[in-house]
Amino acid sequence: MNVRVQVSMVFHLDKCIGCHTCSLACKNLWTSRPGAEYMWWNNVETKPGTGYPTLYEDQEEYRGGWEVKDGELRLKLNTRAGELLNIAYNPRLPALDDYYEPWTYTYGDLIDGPQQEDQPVFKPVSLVTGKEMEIEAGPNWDDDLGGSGIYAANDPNLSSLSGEQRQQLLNVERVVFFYLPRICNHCVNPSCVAACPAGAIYKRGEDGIVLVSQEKCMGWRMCVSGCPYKKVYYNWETGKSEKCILCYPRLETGQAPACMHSCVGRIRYLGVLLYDADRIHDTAARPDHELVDAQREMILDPFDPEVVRQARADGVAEHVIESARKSPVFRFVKKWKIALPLHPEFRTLPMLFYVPPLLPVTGSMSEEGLYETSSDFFSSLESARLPIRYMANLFSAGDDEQVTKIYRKLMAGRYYKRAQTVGDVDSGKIAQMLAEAQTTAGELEEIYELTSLAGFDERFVIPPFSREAAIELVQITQSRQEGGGMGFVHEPRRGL
Amino acid sequence: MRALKQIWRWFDEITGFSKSLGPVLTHPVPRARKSRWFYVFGSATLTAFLIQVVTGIALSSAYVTGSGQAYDSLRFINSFPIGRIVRGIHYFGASAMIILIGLHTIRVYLMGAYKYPRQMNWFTGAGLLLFTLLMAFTGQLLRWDQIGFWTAVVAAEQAGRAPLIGNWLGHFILAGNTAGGATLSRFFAAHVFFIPAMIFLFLAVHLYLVVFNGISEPPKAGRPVDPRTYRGWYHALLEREGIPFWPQAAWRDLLFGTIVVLSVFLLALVVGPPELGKPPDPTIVSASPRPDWYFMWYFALLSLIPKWSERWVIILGPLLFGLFLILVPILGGRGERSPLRRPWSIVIIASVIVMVAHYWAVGIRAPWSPRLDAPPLPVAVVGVTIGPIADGARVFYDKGCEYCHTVSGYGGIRGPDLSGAGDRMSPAQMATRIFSGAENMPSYRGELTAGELNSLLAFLASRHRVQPPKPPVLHTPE
Amino acid sequence: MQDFFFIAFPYIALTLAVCVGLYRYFSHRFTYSSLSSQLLEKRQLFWGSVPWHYGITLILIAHLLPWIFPGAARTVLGNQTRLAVLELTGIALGLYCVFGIAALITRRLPNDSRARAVTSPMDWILLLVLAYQVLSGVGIALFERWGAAWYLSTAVPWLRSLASLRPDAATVTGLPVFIQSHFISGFVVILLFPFTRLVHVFAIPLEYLWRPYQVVIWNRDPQLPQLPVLHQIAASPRPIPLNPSEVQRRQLLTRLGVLVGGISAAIVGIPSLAFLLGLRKVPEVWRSLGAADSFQIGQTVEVSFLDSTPLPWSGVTAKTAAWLRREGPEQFVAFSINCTHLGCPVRWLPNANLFMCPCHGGVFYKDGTVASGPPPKPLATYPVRLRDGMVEILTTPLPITTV
Repeated sequence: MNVRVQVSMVFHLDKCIGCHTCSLACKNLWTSRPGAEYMWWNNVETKPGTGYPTLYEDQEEYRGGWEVKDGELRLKLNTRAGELLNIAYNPRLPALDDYYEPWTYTYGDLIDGPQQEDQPVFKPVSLVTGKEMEIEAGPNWDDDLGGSGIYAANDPNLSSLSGEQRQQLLNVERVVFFYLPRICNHCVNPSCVAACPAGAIYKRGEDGIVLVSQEKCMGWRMCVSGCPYKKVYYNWETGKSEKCILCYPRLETGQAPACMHSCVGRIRYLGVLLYDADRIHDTAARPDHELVDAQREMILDPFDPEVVRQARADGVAEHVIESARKSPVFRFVKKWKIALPLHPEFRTLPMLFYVPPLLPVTGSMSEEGLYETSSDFFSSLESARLPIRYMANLFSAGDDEQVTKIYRKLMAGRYYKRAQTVGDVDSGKIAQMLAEAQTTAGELEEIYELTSLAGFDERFVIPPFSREAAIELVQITQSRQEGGGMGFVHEPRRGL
Repeated sequence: MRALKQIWRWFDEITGFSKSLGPVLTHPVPRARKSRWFYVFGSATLTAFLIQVVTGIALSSAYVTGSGQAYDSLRFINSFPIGRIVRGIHYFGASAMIILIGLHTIRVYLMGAYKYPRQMNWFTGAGLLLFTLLMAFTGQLLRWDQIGFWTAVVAAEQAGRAPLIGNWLGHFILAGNTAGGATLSRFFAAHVFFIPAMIFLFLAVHLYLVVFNGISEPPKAGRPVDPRTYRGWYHALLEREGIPFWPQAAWRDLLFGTIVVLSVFLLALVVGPPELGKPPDPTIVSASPRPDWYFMWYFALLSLIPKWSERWVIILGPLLFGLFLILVPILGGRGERSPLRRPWSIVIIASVIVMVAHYWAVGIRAPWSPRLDAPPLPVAVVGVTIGPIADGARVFYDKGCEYCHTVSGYGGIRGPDLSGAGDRMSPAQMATRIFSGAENMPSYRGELTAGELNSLLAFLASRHRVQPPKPPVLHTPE
Repeated sequence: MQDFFFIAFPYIALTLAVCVGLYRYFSHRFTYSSLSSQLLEKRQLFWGSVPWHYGITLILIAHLLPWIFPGAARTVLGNQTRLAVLELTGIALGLYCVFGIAALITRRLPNDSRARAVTSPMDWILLLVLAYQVLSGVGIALFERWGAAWYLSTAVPWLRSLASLRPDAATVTGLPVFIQSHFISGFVVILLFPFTRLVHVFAIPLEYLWRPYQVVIWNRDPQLPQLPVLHQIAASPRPIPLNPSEVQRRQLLTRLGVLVGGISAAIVGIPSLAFLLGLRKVPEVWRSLGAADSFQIGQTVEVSFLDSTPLPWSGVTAKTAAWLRREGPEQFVAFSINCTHLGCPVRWLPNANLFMCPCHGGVFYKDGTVASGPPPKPLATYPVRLRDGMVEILTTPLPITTV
């Protein structure tokens, strides 16, 4: 056992209202720079939908993540030598049009325009070329199923659904969607790190944050293809790749990342997980249907004395272990088992977990076109508006059972609380549901507490990393004072 | 990369270098805002010294330390382009080192950086300055061509002026009764072993002190050094606005050092090493010993001072200079550091610079040296081919007058220019001067026949700077 | 001029490429990047980048191999068929490159293309130089045939001479200017390396082939306990036993140490110093200068003779010169050639009957007395005698003028 620490997250999708506040908080803080305008380190996609960049989940096209071939875990992208041979032209790289061409408007025309008959207008101008352009795509172009016939229909997660199911989904009157906020998963087995020829991407030992060394990065762009979530972006201005840094400067000073801090729906949770680094390779190489459970096993229980002993031996600070015990992520993922990783079949062991959304049917159109209210307010899982299979494609490598188990527990929680507060559900049904969901009233209370009532400090449990103290042990921090603050000694200017 | 890192980690673990040397490298230095580029000369001198060490080792691997073979071995080294380049680097490296140590000394003196607690920095630095000059001198000698050989003789002769021990000292320098087989070995040992060892020793102390006492902060008028409070104040300054030497201050040193290396290399490539003269054969008397440029000013000084003061200057001059170096931090170890509050320091440095530059410029021209290679006057200057004037021109050349006197651009400049002699002096005056001689002119009494004298006088009398005005043409009435 | 282009310029280019490249790498690493524009425009890039990179790499290797293994190249090219095949391959690769660079240039040309927006002036310079380089290369291959063969006897010796630091451009100076321009622009490309995006060539990540997939960086090695640094050790108080006998013992040991060390230093130092300072007593001997009849009365001539005990390695320096003057049938005077001012060799001016010193212009009369200038004393003389019709001179120490 080799105990390591990972700053990890849970997004409770039931609570996401799709307001994009997180995206804007991130954009304002990190990516409003030349070359980075098109990047959304944090984005919120509408599902079903094609996502950002378009169809990023289609790994037959982009070949991100890992695959098991002949029992060997290897990059789906290419062999090492193959990557070097493709270094001049990466055939698996999404182009700017797969994201969108960033633009602004000639707002000045409104003020400076000549006197004329018509109202002055502003025109869109490309932020790349500075020339006038036609807008053909933009951030969240298919937001709230906008143009869903074109976009949502192509969602790769719909592939294993029957034609009838797909057709139903896209019928306007049955239309259903939910939001999927995405940031870098700070994977335990990151394929972007593995794909980087320059060795510029690395995982921080102390907190597991995956970062791109802007000095080492040579712009070979393999990470962009290598990441199955397309969460590494190539800055066309500086010629360097960039990605979500989990606001590590904020974390190191005890603040929640900007996207989490600003979350209106309070869907986000952050805390550390302890995991067994010796098991990374085995876990990532398991068959598809074992992946979710294997990853859960890899995550260690900070209450286990054996784990704590080994953690201390591996240099994990006492307050970090303490914080791992309070971690909301640990409870969602390992204790209650109601949070799942996005696309575990990419085998990068993502460390961002989602509580899948419950999409109950409150009413439906009858055959005759009449609106019928369901007698059973909490409709059964079988008639969920978004098929279980779709959720399984997203969160459990197609294993329906994993998702169903979670839905049973979530459903039981709702009935349980309804019985408590409204009292129109009989106790026999509650007992049956608790049994089916293999849960207890106490657990449901805890889930309810953390889901609905938790305050800031319970949602974000950030241990004092004392990173600055650790740095001061090995170098003089004064050396950073004169240059450009931490990190850059020179202004990060594009090379010749 | 990983393996290298592991090797380094292991190495570091068993040596503790990064633990012991790391803090030295990153020790805080004061932030100099306007004058930061002035702080590079010391390290650049070190860079130049390292150039000398490296190229010196290379050269010594082919150099033969025998008075008989050294010259041939140098010709051998010179026969390869790379040998010429290395010699060139060694030569220009020496020049750079002298210039840089001079600039460094001036910088330290002007900024008053020798004041408390850095007196010992100054003393060791003064030692290094002395050793550098000795290296330059002995190095020029190791070239062991005709000039190198005579440099040894001149050195012995100069040392001979020392009271009481002069004769012994002179022969000690020559390592024998005459400049011969043993002389070169002695200089070689000094240049290659003794002086470098001393430089390394002094350098170690000097660098240790630089770290121990810290780099002096830029001086500020009205902020005198008080030994009772200085150290505490200095440390507070470092706390407040110190920057780590590496890399924030050191990059300038690196850049400047690199420029020094590149310039030395380019000069070596473009200009090349000083050419070897004739072989060091004492029987070739047609030698004109000249020092390399860095002692040219001293050469000029010795030539121009009054004769009576020579013995004092040769011995006392260096002693006084040494005394000055010793007294500077002893007498001025505290108080104002800014040159603005120490105007005399500016005056002293300015006069030293003016003096050295002036004497250097004069030394290049060397007006006191006779031009023993001056050609006979051409007909165009003489004006006629037969008759007394032409004969006089011949005498002027034969008797060596032309070595010291210029006529219409021909000849030496030690004596007065005689291009216009006929304008200034009558033949009688000239004859008196020729016969009686002067402080700087030998007497030709007995060396000239009457005929020679007459033609010489005729020749000199015909020398006019301006054409004599033609007498006006008078109209005589018919 | 040729020397500049074929000797100085290559070295300048290489030096700059290495020095500036290293400087840029270590000081401005952020500027090191391939600066790919594939994200912005990929369709045309495919037709440019792929032919260019593969073509130029193979061509570069083809240029380098004969340079490194000229013998092997000569053997391989000795066969007509092989030569023809290789030439054709080369031309094909060259055209492949030309196609590539043309595509690379055209994709950046349109005013509103995204690739143009990220094209710096240096990129244009680089593209043009590279284009010239491949075009001139193809031109040479087409019009100056069998370049693979004559390359071995022209550019290869020159390049090897550059590499061995014995530059010799003799084999290329006679070539047509067109071919020479290919060589020079090649070094222009090298010169451009550190000033353009070409630096990415130095950053080809071969290490990727063997490094582990995952990279984890720790702030500090968790395996290593933090050791106190040296100055902390020095500063830490260390208890000193204040036992009086212990103190005495220490003092005694210190003094003993100084004493023993001093004795050792003396044992080694005194003989060394004695060897250095000790002047051997040198015997003075009479050396013959030749028959007396060979010297004319009233003339001063240079004579030379061996020192009394010349060292075997003294060579020419074992000799000493003197000015010998025959004053009468029996009278000879030998003057030291050393000026009494600072020892420079004085010259005899026979027509003027003067000795003149070239250093500071000291002048002596024929009898050695000071005529003018700085010398404080007359020229020194050597004892001379006449024996059996031969003139003999006594070897005496070099005269040193003392005060």
